Amino acid sequence: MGQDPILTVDNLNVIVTTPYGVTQTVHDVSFKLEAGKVLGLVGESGSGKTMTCMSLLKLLPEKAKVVQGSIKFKNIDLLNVSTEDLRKVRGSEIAMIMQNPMIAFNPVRTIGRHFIETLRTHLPITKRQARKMAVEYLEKTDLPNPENVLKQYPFQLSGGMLQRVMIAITMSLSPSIIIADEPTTALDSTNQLQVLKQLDKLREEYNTCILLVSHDLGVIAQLADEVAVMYGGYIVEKAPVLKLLNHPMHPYTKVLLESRLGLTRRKIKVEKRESVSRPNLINSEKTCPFLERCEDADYTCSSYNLEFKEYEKDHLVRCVKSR
Amino acid sequence: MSWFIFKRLTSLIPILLGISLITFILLHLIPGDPAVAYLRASHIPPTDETVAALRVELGLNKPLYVQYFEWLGKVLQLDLGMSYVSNNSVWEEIVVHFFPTVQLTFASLIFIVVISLPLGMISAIYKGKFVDQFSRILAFVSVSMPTFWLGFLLIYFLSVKLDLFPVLGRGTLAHLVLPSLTLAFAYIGTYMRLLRASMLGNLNEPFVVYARARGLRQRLIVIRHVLKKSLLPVITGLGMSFGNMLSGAVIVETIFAWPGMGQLFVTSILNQDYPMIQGCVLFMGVIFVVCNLLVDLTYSFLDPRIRWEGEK
Repeated sequence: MGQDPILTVDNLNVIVTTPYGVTQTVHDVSFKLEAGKVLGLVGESGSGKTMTCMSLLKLLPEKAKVVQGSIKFKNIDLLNVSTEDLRKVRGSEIAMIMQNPMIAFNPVRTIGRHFIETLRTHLPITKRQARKMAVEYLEKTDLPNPENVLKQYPFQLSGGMLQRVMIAITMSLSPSIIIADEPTTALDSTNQLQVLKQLDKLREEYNTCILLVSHDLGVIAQLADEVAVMYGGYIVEKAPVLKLLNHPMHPYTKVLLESRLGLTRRKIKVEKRESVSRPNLINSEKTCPFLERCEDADYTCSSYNLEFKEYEKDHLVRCVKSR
Repeated sequence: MSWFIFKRLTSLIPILLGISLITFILLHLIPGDPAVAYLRASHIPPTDETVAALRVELGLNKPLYVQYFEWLGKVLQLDLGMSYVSNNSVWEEIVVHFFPTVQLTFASLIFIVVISLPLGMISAIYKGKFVDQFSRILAFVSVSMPTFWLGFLLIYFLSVKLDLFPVLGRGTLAHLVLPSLTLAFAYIGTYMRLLRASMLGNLNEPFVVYARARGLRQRLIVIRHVLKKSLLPVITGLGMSFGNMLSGAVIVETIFAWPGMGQLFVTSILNQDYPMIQGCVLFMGVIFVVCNLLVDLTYSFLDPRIRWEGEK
């Protein structure tokens, strides 16, 4: 606390044009990233997590557009910076770890080429120096036989190995921010733990801040300092990790936590209104996105303007019922 | 890699045997007696005696399998027999006519690559813009325009009216331009659109997003990442077209009086020159197979996934 945030996202709104109409996938999202801290972004598929991440580096697909809000990195306004300046920020200042390592690498290029081209894009070094650096950083991620890994093609490595290669590439440019979009989803549990340890090491050694995106609360609980829960494009609750896990305020957060507890006790809780599908985001009016699935909903909800409520100083909830 | 090549080469043997067998049988299925045809070509009236005598001389009275093995043995020594019409060695005739065709094919290939690949790439990057629209129209024109008509148009405007290129025949480099452009034109549209579609597919792949997230320059992403992967289907197609063109472009060669394989083949059919037809079919078959082999090898060079499949 007290230090200047490295990244400030304020009031971010993203819309997507589909053949069926215009959908808003990110609503009024605001958060800050501080050095050495990990912000967890949690929510189900389609809740707007990936869209939020992608808009930070202007990597949104063609159909999606940021319509409102600001993203400030140090003193750079990322939404209004020139393409060339933005390119320089990508990878070297703000790095990304992709969701599925198996398809993030070009199948017709070796790992070495991927690594070296990244280093040489941002640093004035020769191929040989870049190769040496690559070996060095691959060693740090405990990959066996780094020289050999560089000669391999992506399809010759396992998902876990590729994920560690991606972390090595990320580390090598010592960025101030790492966006890790579901870094463990495509991996089995042993590899998951390893990757999480790597990320933690990174944060400790380089004082990097991490935006950790996951639908898995277990992953978030391991690493995050603060958690933002997303639902239907909104951040519905934001709090330090322990507060959120121990005193969830938003009904959706409660459901999310319950489903996890249910699993650990070996009886899977089936959600009561399973017939209710995901929120229909197209042309919906500004109402609570969780309204239809909420157990506590009543007449007060429909007139709620979706302002954040401050439960405690650092615990924000977007629910009219919370008090 | 060497193992892959070895495997591909050994798999050629049954294919080549198959080609030889089909070529051989084909001729015996054609209506008309080769002996009669020979006599007609030599202007000797085909009476029963002359036909019978010739059948013995040509070995046509022996059982079919004996004929096949005798023929195959000769083929392996590059002895494809004598032409009924000119009495020259078939092999030598083919060699003489093959070189102009090779020349024409390579010149066309250069036109195809130089025109269609850059246009395809640019229209993928500027999808929906003017360049893309223009290339779309060009592609329609290219695939739907009859070759003979295009050939005559080119001759009329560029040779007769503007006197830029010679009208017919073979000789200088200038003689090569119009025939090869005519031959290439039909392929240009296909490969332009093929590369465009292939690149558009790859431009939205996650590996491109990751490349951009790593801050790579746009030019490097397009050329090193997207283009290389997108060329794969184009190479396959080009290899097959290459084989096609090498077996002779009958229409183009006829229009421009180009003394290539296509002309040789058509003339030998019109003359019922059986050994020549047989020789041409066999030769084209082999050329086609070899081209496909070359494509496979290029492919494995470009796409490591195929190379590694082979080594497993």
